Amino acid sequence: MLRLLVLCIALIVETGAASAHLASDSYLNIELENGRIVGRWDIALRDLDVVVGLDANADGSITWGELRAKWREIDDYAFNHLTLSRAGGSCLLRPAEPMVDYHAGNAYAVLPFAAECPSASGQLTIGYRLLFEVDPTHRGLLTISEGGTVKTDILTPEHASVVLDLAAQTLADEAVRFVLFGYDHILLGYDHLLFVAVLLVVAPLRRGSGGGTGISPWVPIDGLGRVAIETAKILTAFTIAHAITLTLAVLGLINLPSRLVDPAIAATIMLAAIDNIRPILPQLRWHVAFGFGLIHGLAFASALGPMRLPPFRLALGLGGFNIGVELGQITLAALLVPTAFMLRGEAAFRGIVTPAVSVGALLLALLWFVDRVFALDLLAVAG
Amino acid sequence: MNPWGLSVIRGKWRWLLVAAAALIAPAPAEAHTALKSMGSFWSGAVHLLTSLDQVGFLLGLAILAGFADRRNDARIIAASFAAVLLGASAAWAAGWQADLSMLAAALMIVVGLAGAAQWRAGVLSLTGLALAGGAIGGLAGGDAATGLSLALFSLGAALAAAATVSYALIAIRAVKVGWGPIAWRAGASWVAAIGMMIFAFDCSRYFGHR
Repeated sequence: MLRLLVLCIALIVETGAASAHLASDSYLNIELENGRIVGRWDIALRDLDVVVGLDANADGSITWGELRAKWREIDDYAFNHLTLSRAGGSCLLRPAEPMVDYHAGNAYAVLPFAAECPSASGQLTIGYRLLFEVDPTHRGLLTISEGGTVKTDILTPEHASVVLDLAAQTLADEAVRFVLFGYDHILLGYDHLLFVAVLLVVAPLRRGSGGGTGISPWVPIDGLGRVAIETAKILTAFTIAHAITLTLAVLGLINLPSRLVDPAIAATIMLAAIDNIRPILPQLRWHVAFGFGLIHGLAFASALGPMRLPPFRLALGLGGFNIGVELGQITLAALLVPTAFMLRGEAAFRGIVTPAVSVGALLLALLWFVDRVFALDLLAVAG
Repeated sequence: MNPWGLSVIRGKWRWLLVAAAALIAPAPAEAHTALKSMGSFWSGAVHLLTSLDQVGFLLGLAILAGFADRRNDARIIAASFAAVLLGASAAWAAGWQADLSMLAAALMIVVGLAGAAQWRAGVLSLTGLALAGGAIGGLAGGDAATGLSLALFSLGAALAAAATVSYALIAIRAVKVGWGPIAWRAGASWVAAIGMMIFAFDCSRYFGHR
């Protein structure tokens, strides 16, 4: 029994270490004007720390002095992972004075640069490989503007090289990319997924009458149709809620730092998990999904905010991103709900599996909460 | 000399058959490395769902379970989940890179033929098959977890296995018309046929007649 307990704890720590990793995005803005190419590249310091090693004294924080000592290495690493070419010839990238900026409370190295290409015209090709060798889930968010025309792209290991033909790219192409980006973002955002999973694992169940203990036991819901409706309510409420706060945050009407939002997300998982074991939240699960979804939307804002999109592109991006997030949740539900539905009639599922899953989620979220509140980086060490 | 033994099939149909066999042949684990950009959990799920021998076995198992007492359903789903989880973990822990597609194909043939014959298997036989097939699937997929989180990869693969069996059982239990069992038996025969093709392809690969 003790061995089993140790194995469970080891698995939770291993899972936590792997999934505590927050979404890794960099923002590459390129402007083309009269044949000149200038750019600004925002890369999270936490990502650079992994490949360059910024925290020299390993005290868990990166000081200005530590950063200044590594600027040269940062430039070398970053610009060795970005290539621009035009009319068949490579462009020479000339880094300018670097800076630091904050997006959603996270510190980013800002690397301005200019590109000198062999030709002032012709199609521009961008090759992007930042961090892919250590983190295939990293995404580069590209915004390119020329004479008032703005286009966007999402760069991934499979889509690392793009030929920029501004005239050829349609709005539908861009919308689809944002849908895929939203889909990617939720599928790789394990904290959001765990929250939805904690709600969905009891989607085929409802609280029965209390009995003598005072705790209402879970009882199965009859019929696949009713379970599907319950699942749809939970997912839709969560989507509407995070769409509201995501929009407000991207528009700059709400601006909460990630040091508050990230622990709050861990807290929502803990509360939902406790509620699975002992009811402490409203009985209607979609109310819970809506209330806590408002908090999760604040975290999504860091994905789109720094892209500096004009209003129409921003609306397109928000719409596509939210659709993608909804599709990601549906994918998770498609994986979890049929099994939960088939097992809902078993006393062992209601009495052992559901509480065990909830306790596991509670411990994992507690680990994330402590790690995020105290910035201990415990899980990175474990990973 | 005709190493394919396809002399009775002439012209373009021979090549179509060869192309079909190549398509259904289980891809080695390295072919799935592109999935790593999806993260560990989804890599595990998609790895299992894109392994034809695994999906075929699980569908065959569900059809076979569909002819048995529905009170066994939960146990078979749980056994599939646990076996994939433990199999993938064991393969990763032992650093084992095994090509078990021939074994997986053999199990496909067993569940397919048993389903086609409408064999009313007992709970022990069904659970044993679920454990064996799940473990083979887990062991075969474990090496694909290299560079990923083992726990998340195994969890993704195990949930995908449980979901596959669950979907199939939901569909089987929902069909209450008279032709239902005939349709499921036909489905099981397809599982056996595809299993035989994979098995034959693996044999030719193993014995150097590819």
